[in-house]
Amino acid sequence: MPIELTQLSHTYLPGSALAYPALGDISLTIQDGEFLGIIGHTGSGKSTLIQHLNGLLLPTSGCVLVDGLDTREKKLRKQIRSLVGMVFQYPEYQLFEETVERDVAFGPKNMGLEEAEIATRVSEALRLVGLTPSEFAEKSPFELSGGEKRRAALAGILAMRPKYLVLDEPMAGLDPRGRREILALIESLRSDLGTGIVMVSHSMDDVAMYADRIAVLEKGSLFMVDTPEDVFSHSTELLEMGLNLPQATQLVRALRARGIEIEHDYFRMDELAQDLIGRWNHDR
Amino acid sequence: MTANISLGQFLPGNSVVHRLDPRTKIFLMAIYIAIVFVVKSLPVFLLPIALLIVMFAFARVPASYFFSALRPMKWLLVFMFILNLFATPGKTVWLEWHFIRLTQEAVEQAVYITLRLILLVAGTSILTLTTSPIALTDGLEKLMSPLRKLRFPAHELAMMMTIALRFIPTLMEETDRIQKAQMARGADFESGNIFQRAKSMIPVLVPLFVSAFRRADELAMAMESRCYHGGEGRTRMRELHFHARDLIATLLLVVVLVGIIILEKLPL
Repeated sequence: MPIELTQLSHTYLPGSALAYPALGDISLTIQDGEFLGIIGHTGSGKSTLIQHLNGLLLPTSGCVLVDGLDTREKKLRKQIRSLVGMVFQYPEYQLFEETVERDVAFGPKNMGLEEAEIATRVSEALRLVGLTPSEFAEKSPFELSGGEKRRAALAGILAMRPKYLVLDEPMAGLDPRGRREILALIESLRSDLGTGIVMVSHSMDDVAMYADRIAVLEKGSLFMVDTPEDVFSHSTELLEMGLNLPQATQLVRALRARGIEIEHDYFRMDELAQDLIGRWNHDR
Repeated sequence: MTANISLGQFLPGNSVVHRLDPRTKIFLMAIYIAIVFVVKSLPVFLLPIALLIVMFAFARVPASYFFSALRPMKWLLVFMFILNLFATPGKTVWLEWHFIRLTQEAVEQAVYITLRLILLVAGTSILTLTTSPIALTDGLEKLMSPLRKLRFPAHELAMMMTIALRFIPTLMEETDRIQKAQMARGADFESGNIFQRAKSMIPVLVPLFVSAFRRADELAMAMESRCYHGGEGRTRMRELHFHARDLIATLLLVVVLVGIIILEKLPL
């Protein structure tokens, strides 16, 4: 079953002089096992939107159903939060326990699982993120490197075995290698475990590469939800919103501006490269 | 969750009171507090009450702020009133029933104490309402600077206050963020008895402290790389200057204080 958002609106501090409408009338369905990218300018409501997916924020109007469970029901919230794993920006700042093992066990423990089950899940999650349990389990999370900390924090979410994983800029502040590792991990979660992914990102190339669909937020409303191909064919509108384009799309636009005709709206560099190599060979 | 808590509660404006030098305002508050404590009889109490109204009017602060300043104090006020009502010894008995004894002196005492508290809180709130935290710490630093001769760290204290005020909203935001992150991992801050709740705050407090120390470190580094080396020889962007209005306001309050002292001494 999917996550369904129906005419969701959210206003911060409603009824006060500081009332601020952050989201308006958003309807969106996130399918099982889908990779949904969310893009939008700073302040477009991305963070507000994803916090609705596990009931951290509640809609001012409209509703959110996670596998048919309404986030407004207080009794269901714990269940919803174990279904929808949430990785905030810079998740390494939430580490608090004395050992990595105990920190990763925090989520499963809150779910009320048995000791044996918790232990299996912890070592499973650590292995998933590439931290060998024998080496890292007993370490203090505060003595890890930046990239390791982030992966340990991620393991803390994965140990809850969420059906959906929501990530807010999971690669922010990492070096290129760290970025690739996290992206590969996210991709393997989806292909191997069938986890649905919702990822907020400023990197259009990452979203273009991995997302099945992309939701574009603009000033608190949903500008469009569609395949990367269709979204990036609206390149002029995206640029007007202050968003970037994938490198391949930028190159296509630059080539067209110089009078080179490219029929297809490429958004992935590998596909564009194939096309250009094909032309070059043909011309020769 | 932790939004809309206004600390310092500064209300920007351009009234005469806003434009007074912060040093003057701090000094005026001292005189005002003296006035409130010098008053000892009921008709004379009308003077500081009138003074408070005049100050509110000059500061162009809406009356609603008077009540919001008192709101956090309401239980203390009720408690003080009742305590003084029954715990003050007196001779003129108005009412006696079992162990309850109500005397005229006790009623007067209870009314005075409560009135004094209200006047104090409402009056001093004018200072924080009309003075930005930065101006306030600037003023305090200037006022304390003569103490530097006694090795009193006036500048350092003022700088610490400024930084603390500056980081309150940041830390609140941070708390909210960490709390949400732990809630997403199934943490529960709302149920259980007081011990369980205190324990449930550990996953929030540890990361909060870690990041507060990290921030402090980064801030110190950033200040040092801009050549900050304490208050020695440091000039300021906004120099404080006294104007005619500072003198007039001070004179007015001194006149009221002296007047009240004389009125209290006079046999009425």
